[in-house]
Amino acid sequence: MSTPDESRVAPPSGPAHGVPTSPPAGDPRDADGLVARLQRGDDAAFETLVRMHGPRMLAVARRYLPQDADAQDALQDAFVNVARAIGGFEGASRLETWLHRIVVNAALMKLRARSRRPEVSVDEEALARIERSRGPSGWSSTADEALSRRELEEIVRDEVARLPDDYRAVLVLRDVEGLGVDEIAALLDVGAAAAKMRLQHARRMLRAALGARLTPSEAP
Amino acid sequence: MHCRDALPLVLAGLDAPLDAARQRDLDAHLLVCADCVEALREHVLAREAFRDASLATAPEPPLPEAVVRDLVARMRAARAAPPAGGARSA
Ligand SMILES: [Zn+2]
Repeated sequence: MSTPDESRVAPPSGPAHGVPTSPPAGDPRDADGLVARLQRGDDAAFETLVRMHGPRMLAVARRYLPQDADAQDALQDAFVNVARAIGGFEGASRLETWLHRIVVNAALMKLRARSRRPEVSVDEEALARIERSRGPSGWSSTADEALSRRELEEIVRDEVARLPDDYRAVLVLRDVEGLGVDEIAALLDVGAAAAKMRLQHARRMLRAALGARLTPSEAP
Repeated sequence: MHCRDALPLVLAGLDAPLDAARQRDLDAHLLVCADCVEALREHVLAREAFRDASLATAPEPPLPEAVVRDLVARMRAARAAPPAGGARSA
């Protein structure tokens, strides 16, 4: 089971998330010395940590593992890893950042463990047909005119959740975590070319799925 | 440039900068091809909507009590019996 180093996935720092990109001197949530108490093995500190950070960590796990049971499993693995690794936490990153990396790693480990099947085959011809068939009357205008932004976000999230695991994972790592292709390749333990290919297939599948859902029917 | 050559560049450009020559070729194609412009628009819209949906700030509900108890028990057990070769302890 991998334990987190302090240099990989950080919580996304988009404006909606509000996590500063530069590490502050100390974690403001650690005003009562939570890390020190965890490192001493203080039982109550474990519970505080779970209550304080568990909901957010579960939400992160769900991005990779939409099935609730899978996300719960990843959360369990993450907290077990936290318990094992907290002694080595030196505060080079914020506690929240460290926990984020741990749960992302746990989710990816879970995906990796269960994707012993070969890479999902992409129906190149079907995707190419869809790509050729979409014109200026594709779904972007539908999205602009007929849907609120919130509705579009819900639909896109729903369709990403339906993608094969490997494709969903690369989209989360790239578009939500903001990682570069090389970082994604390292996390997934694949070559950069494979990571790039997986991303491209994921985008094409997502676009095709959105096209099927949002393109107005041309039936008379 | 044909659409079949432009679409892979549209996709590649979403995840890494294209080299100058390819970007120039793609830009020239996009000036005259509404289909590929629409493809780019759809990919960008999907990416932005997915990111915004994922980072929405709705507060997560607290974990159920049973889940909290289970997680705490697992942490205590893991702490009591760290795996060989695991992280160093305090
Ligand atoms: Zn074109």
